[in-house]
Order: sequence, then structure tokens, then C-alpha cells
Amino acid sequence: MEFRKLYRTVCGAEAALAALFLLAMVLLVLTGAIARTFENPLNWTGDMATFCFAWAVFLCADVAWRRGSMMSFDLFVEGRSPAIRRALLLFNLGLIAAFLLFLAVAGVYLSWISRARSFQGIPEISYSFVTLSLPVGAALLLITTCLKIRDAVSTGGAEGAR
Amino acid sequence: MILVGIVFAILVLIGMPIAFAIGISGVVFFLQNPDLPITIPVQLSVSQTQNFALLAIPLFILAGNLMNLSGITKRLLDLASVITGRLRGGLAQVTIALSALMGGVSGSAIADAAMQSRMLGPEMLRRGMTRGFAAGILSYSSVLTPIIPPGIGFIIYGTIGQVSIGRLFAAGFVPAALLWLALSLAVTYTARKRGYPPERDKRPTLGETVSAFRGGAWALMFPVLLLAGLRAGVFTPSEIGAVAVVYALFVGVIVHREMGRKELAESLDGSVADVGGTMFLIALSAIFAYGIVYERVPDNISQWMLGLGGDLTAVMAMIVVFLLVAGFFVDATVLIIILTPIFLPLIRDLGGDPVHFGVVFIVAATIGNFTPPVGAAMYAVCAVLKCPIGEYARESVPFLIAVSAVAFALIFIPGIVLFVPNALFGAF
Repeated sequence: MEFRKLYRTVCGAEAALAALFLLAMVLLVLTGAIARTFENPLNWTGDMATFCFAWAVFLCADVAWRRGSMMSFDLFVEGRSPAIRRALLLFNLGLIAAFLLFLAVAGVYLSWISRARSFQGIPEISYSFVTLSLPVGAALLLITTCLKIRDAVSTGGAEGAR
Repeated sequence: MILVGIVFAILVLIGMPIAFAIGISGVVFFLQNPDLPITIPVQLSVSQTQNFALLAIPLFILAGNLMNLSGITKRLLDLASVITGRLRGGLAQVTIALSALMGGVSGSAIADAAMQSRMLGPEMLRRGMTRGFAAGILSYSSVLTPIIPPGIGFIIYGTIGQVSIGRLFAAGFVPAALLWLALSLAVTYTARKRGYPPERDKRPTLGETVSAFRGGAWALMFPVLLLAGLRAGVFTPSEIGAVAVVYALFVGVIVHREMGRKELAESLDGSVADVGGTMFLIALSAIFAYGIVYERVPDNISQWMLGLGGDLTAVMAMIVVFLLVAGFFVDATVLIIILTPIFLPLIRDLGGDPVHFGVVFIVAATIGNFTPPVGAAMYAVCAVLKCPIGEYARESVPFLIAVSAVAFALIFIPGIVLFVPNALFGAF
């Protein structure tokens, strides 16, 4: 059960990191606004803020996916028999896994071929650090999806359908 | 694009989360057009998160969650009760006023409905209101929250459609007042029939009134400061979002002294899940929107609609009817994200005002949160009150009629919507 404990730690760290990115966005946007008000505009705060934004979005997405807080339409599914629900759930999760795998692979590829592109405001840093947020997020979402598939197969319940 | 639409509809129907359904069906377009680079979907999703204007959304979500735990809500409840306590329908009138007041600090109807049903719901039942009536007004009153600035719907619409968010914010006040009036009349009607008494049996004293307004002052001041900041051009909407977070912290920690480490952690944790649910959907919707623009879907729809011989007003009325029906099945945020790029160009072609259309659009789309079978605010409220959806649906009919009537009235009299923004920002 060591693995389970490790996984829980990783999940906690992920949520904390996502929250940290959110707070960093607040500080960066504020710093930029204040600096501009005092006629001393900083061009890196906006870029750093959107860098945090990208990472926050895809990390938060995994947290939302794991906690079942993504919006979905359950009405049609709710009226079906458990066997059909389970089949639909597995179909959905399988398709989602394939989609996430595509995002992860295409994302890494894009990050690699566009590594020469840099930030507008911070020329020393490659834009690939932003692009990488998507494949990394997709990989995390893929892990969550695989765990949901495992749950669906082992319990047969429609838990985690959302 | 027709195949993309069909795939999207099927995936949503079989219960796939809408964010994934929109991304996967969007990729179908790229499979149909193999000459397009396959890295574009990735690029599109990431570029959504590099949009500085959209950064306002997570910031306002965080600010709203902080405000809810900052002690502002309790004080606004006192104020709402002082304002509406003498009206028939008691707490049902109070919840409408509270939604309007909360609208100035938070931008999400769903969060507002969920919070108020926990705060007021049990008390409403104890005072003899039926479950369906209480759930109905708790849910429908939250239509005011996204219409009074700041509203997340306006930020999404304004960013996608390149419409001034300051103008949209300013345009919300008068329609919000009308919605308040319409809902209040609907409550009075039912309250008279059933004999629900007012919340207070005598007028609040001057002292009570003054202290209630002073308690609510921090919340009341916020939308005014926000509009002033936008009007003066000092701040962009995203910067105001950051200011809102600091403002909520300041009020919660220093003024009211009710926010400690526990509240802070709780609102951050909740915000992470809320941001994930909303922003992931917006990021992936870029994949879907690419095909819409590539195949000139808005042009085709406007050709078709013009072929029907409709003028601007008729087209807007048709769109509202469409939104109300679509709102039965799809949530407001999703409607705004998917339909803004389709409908707004059409309205612009017909010479409509994007601010006027925006307000009508957001009001009509928001109603989708309250109508069965799919409505996020409805589910949130009914879960807290343990109200069966059928009972909710039956008893909330007067509220649905009230808010829909306002949505249609706004179409025909653009002046109601455009008066405030034109006065503040000047006419075009």
C-alpha cells in the first residue's frame, strides 16, 4: 500500500502547487498594475502571470477531474440499466484516455519543435515552458483516468462517472 | 463541422464531461482535414491560457470564494432583511435582495445559489414555505449575481467577442433591477395566495437601517470602485480581479477579522476545483471554435437567418428562444463559450449593438442554470433542500415566466440596457 500513500501525497502536492500558481498570478498581476501606475511599467509580469495561468489551468483540471467537479449531462445515462451505464462509462473513459494520450504526445512534440521561440517580455526563457503545461497536465489527467477505469472495472459501479 | 456537432452531441448525451466532449469532437475536425498540422489543437488550447483577459476568470473565482468566507455574506444578509423585510414573502424576498447584493462581490450564479440555500433554505422551510417554492426562488434569484458587476459570463463573452468589459459591466445594473422587480412581484403573487407573511412585522428603526448599511458598506463599495477603475482606464479587468482578491483578504482578515488560516485554505482549495472545471473547458473549446471559424459557420447561419426575412429584433428573439430551450440541456457557461463566436458576428452583421446583445444573451443563457432537466444552480439548491426536481419545476413556473419576460423586454427596448454604459463611457 506504499504506492497508495505516495499517490495521495502527489495529489496533495498537485493541489497545493495549483493554489500556489493562483496566488502567484494575483501577486504578478498586481505588481504589474502598480508598476504601471507609477509610470515604471514592467514587461515581464504579464508573461510570468500567463505562464502561471497555463500551469494553474491544467493542474486545476486534474484536481477537478479527480473530485468529480467537471460539468456533465447525466440525465440520459441515469435512466439506463447498470450494465449499459458501465459500458458507456468505460467507452467514455477509454476515449478520454486516447484523447489525453494524443494531447500529451502532440504537446511534447510541439514543445520540442518550438523550443527556439521565446517569451515576448522575457527573451531568455523558451516559450516551451508554457507549452509543456498541457502535456504534463494531460499526463496527470491520464493517470486519473486510468484509475477511474480501474475503479469502473473492479467495482462495476457507476462511481466516478463525472 | 456537421459531423463535429453530431459527435459533440452524442458524447454529451452519453455522459462524457463537457470539457472532454468539446475537445474530442473538436479534434474530429482535424481528422477530417489531414492537411492541417496535428499540433494545432495543442497550440490552440495553450494559447487560451496565454490570453491576459481570460486570466480575470480564475482571479474572480478566487475572489468570490474568499468573499464568501470573509464575513461579508452575514452582514449583507442583515442588510437584505432591512431592505425587503416588509414585503410579503419574507425570506423569499430577502434571498432576492441578497443575490443582488452578493452580485457586487461575486460573479457566479451557481456559487450564489449553493451558498444561499445553505444559509436560508432550512429557515424558509421551518417558516412553512413549501420545498418547491423555497428551492425555486433560492435558485432563480441567483440570476442577479452574474448580471451585476463583476460577472464571469460578461468576462467570457467580452473576451471571446472583443467587447468592452467595462461597458458590459455597466450595462448590467438596470436589467438587474428589472429582474429583481419581476421576481419580487412573482414572490408577492404566490405569497398572497398562500399567506406567507413579511419577514418583519414593523419597520426597521433608523438605527438598525444605518448599522445594516454600514455593515454592508465594504461589499456595496466594491462594484462602484470596480467600475470607477475600469472607467478611468486605470485597470484592466484582470487587474481588477487581482485587486478583488486583495480586497476580499483585506475585508476578511483586517476589517471583519473572521478569516483565519482555515478559511483561507478552504477557499483556495475550493477555487482550485472551480478553476479546473471552468478553465479546462474554456481552454479545450478553442479546438472546437477553430473549425467554426475555418468553415465560416456564423456566415452560413446568418445567410440562413436573413433568408427567413427576419430583422435584428426578430433574430434576437429567435436567439433568446433558442437559448431558453438549449438552456434546458446545457449550462450557461457552456452556452456562452460555444455560441458567442456563432451569434455575435451575426448580430454585428445586422447592425446590432454587441453590448445590448451581450446582456440579453447572458440573461437568457443564465436562465439555463435554473431549468430542469439540466441546471447547475437548480441541482445545487435541490440537493441542499432535498427537493424533488418535479416539485421544483412545478413551483418555479412563475419565476421562469418573470425572468423570461424581462429577457424579452430587454430585446425590444435597447435603451434600458445601453443607458448606463452610454452615460458612463459615452455613446459610440
